[in-house]
Amino acid sequence: MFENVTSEVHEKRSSRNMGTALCLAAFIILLAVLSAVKVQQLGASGSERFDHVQRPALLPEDG
Amino acid sequence: MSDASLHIRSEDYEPSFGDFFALLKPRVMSLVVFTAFVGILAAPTSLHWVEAFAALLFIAIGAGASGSLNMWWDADIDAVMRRTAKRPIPSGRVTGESALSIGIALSLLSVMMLGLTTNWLAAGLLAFTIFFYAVVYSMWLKRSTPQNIVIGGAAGAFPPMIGWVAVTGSISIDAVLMFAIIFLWTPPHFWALALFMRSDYDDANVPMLTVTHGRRSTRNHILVYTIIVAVFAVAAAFTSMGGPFYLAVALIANAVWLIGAVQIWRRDEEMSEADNFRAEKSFFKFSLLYLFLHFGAVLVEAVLPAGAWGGW
Repeated sequence: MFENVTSEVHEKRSSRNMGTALCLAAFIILLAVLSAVKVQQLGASGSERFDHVQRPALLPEDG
Repeated sequence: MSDASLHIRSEDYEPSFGDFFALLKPRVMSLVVFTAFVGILAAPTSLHWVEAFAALLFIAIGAGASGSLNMWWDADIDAVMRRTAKRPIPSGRVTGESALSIGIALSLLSVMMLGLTTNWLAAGLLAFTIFFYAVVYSMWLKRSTPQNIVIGGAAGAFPPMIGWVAVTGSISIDAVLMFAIIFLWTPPHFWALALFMRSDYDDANVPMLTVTHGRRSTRNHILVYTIIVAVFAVAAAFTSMGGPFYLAVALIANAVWLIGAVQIWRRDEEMSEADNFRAEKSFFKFSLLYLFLHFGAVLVEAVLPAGAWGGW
């Protein structure tokens, strides 16, 4: 059964849902940007060192 | 907290997004954002601006979460006090359960995200701040001791220190001084409020100093705390976060602050009632500006180049 709601209640629910959705979207965008910044800060060699063997091209040359 | 406070929402009221946002005490959050921002900028090292923004956001969310937990616990006394009767729970717009859920969820989110964004010392300090405000102050001290404001003031004093630690990863004398200024500023600020809002605290049976030790004693306490905070506020000028500009601002602001405290100390109830607590009200209003001036001056010192007015 559909609930019979007044327009005021409908508007409030709609504003609440929209506010929550916007907060979630902003949080996801922030996480994405923050992750990009963190990876950038590690640098090229840093981003590979946790689970990869460094490519020879990234190693400092001897002598 | 009374059981009734948990179930007073009227059944036909549909809470809006703004009603839930009001649980986070936006005005207190704005002060937290400002002081934490100063802590972040005054630190000797720096964060990427995205990290700084995120740190500030999560500190603010943590402060909001503690505000929500405080509103859940204090709903019964908020309903009695005129100043707080329109808050979301006593006015019936939001249930106590909702406030508790939002408070816990945002506390966990803010602490975890601050730790991942910056460092776990800053996150630990934020967790301690939330615990201190919600449990130590709201649940324990507020209703049991007239020193509630003195010890509870620590919760509001942590944000600039958290901001500083988020950047540097350690606690230094500058961070401790920023903490001390807000910690020592809080009691005279609230005692001045209690002097001219007396019926509120009396009605709610909150053991404010005005109720337990009398109004003469409160006036004495305001003067003593004002002198102590002035010493710390001026001393901060000689640390790395201070400088000539901060010193000039601190000297002027503390002179005005001390004059206000002496005026309150010299007055009695008869004099205060005769002019409707004019000196107490102006001292309370200036106390907000006082904090803004000091932290604004630290901000200016952080932005100004060294050698001009910035730093020593």
